[in-house]
Amino acid sequence: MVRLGRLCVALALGALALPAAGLAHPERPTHFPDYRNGAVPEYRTSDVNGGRALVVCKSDSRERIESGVSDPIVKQRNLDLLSRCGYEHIQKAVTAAGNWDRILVLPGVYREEPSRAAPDEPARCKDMYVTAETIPGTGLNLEGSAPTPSYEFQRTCPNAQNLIAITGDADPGDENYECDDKCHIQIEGTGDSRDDVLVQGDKHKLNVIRADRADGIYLKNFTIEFSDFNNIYALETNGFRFDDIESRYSREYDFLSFTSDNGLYEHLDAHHAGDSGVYPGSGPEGHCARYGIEIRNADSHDNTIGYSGTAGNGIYAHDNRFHDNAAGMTTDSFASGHPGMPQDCAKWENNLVYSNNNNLFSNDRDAYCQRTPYEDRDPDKVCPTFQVPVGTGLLIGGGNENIVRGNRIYDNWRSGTRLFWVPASARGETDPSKENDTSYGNRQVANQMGVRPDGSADPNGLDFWWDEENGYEEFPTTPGVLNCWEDNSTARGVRLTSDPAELPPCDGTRVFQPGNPEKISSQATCASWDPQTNTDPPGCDWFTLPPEPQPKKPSKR
Amino acid sequence: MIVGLAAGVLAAAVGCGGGGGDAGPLRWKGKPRVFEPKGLPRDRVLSGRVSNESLRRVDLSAGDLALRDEQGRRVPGSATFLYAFVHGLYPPTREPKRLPDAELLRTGRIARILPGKSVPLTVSWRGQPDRGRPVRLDYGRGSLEIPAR
Repeated sequence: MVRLGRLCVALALGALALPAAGLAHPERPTHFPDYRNGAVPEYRTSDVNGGRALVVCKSDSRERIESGVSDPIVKQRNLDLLSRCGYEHIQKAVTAAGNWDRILVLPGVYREEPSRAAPDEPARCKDMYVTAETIPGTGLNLEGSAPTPSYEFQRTCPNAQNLIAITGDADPGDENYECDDKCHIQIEGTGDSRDDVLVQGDKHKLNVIRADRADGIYLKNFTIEFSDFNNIYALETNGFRFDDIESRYSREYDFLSFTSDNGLYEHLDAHHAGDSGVYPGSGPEGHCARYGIEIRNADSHDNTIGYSGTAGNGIYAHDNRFHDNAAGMTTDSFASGHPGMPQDCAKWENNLVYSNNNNLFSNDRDAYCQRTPYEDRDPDKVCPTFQVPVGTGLLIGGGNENIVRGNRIYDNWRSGTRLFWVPASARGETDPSKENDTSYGNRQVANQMGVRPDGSADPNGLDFWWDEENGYEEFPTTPGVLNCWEDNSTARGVRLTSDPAELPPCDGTRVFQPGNPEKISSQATCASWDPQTNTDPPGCDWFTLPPEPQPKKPSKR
Repeated sequence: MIVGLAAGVLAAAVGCGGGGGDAGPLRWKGKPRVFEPKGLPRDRVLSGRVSNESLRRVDLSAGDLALRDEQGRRVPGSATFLYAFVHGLYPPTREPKRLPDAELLRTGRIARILPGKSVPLTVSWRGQPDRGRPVRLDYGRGSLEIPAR
């Protein structure tokens, strides 16, 4: 999962300024874009605003078009485009592209050999790293942290870490972080399905596609695999859209956005990622006044986590399926280095969250992952990069004012949902008055628990688990609105199950509750998990899959 | 994970056996709680705060703490200077060779306890057929008593 205190200060109308450092991986300090200057890009089928169409193909594209594209209109269009093919590699077309260009990728497998051959630490970018000293005045204590490549590094040496890099800020030295060139670029596979174009990582470069200050980026209609970190990565990008893409087999993330805004994830298949299928981390700081990133019609499965987002703020995820992961959905304030902490204001609606019992923490899997490096693994055997309570549908760790509404959550053998406090010190906050400023105002309402779409019972281990903590919105004067559960339902004649047995309704009461100390400290034991050295820490029950719960007979009345 | 220091060194430093309360610069602040986590009957979790009663800062590493039974034998377990779940900035498999101290402190892997101050400590262990229950937590310069409950 990707995480320093509330580092970016919201200016008037939500524009944000101060930089912040880090992810759950080495990354430079980043800034939120000013959402007022961006928009979710629209799909374009013709040239606009002076943009051109750049065509990319492979030597076998004709053969693939003729044998693999079945729609006659699409086939003819592809055959027509062949004569305009000017590039063999997608990166070459990106390098040649300007604002509003469309990059049309004909059927083929794109391994981006020139990018693979690019050195990881090129001499010409050896001085383009940032450390704490380069971000004075932020209050960040990064003493001793490893230097990370700067934006200038990514712009100058785009293929050191990335097979395909779209870097849009032409003036890294100036004070704004906005896109100047390579903005509004659209990269799309031209086949009649996303199976026709495969963009294949080498399991070594961190990212397969990196969109960095690449405002208006639109990615569509292809399959992508085998990144060491992110298959698709949007960073400091104002306006992005991931549409009709299968992303799979990443060592960590299939789709990841970070300090980006005006985003749309849609029609995605995200699977077999070592961390998350979709990861909208350090999300828009709308503070419940707006949702800046939307996720819809995604199918995220067979990952460690279907959806996760440290500081996953301002996300609206609806009509998705999160299933057969170790945990279905998580959002949290678990770690430092994520602008926008603590997490707040996501809304999850009308999602199917089911069967998240994929035990990637078994002894067999532990042994396999320990002895098999990523490069040599069976891609279907996911090795988890972070720990989660296997068997959980939806987990909120240290989140505030999130809405969980109208979802169907079933067959998660530990619990349908799980809500617990995370201390402010977890994100590097040193002000002791803020220690309990998480886990308040989360509303879980009108969800269908333990019932399949066909109406049959398929219970969760527990429907709801809560550590009973309710934090302060402002210490000591303003306790947070009480976390609440209301109008949730389950199979006919059966009662909802929860720990604690009684859950508060949504009556707007403000109260501070310190939480149940045994529940809280039993979670702490899970912090020492390490996939190499401590796979099953005593006291932590997260890594043992609970037995499948059986439907209860309706009680007689 | 608790990595045991050379048992003999520790035994010599703090003595074998249990009982006798806390020894060295640290004390429990209040009574620590020992409980059986739900669904894990062989496991026990101890949760409390330790305070520095000396005049000098005490630096600890969770990996250097060692649980001991009545006979001074090491009892495998885990320790963290946390009282709630936190995870690292980096995945465990992708950590830099040297983590900043701030990250080690944040994730409960080390503690720096100023005189008169305290830090949270959570220790857990799993019952072993060839070991008694831990009665002491050795930290090199002293030990803390582990209550039965």
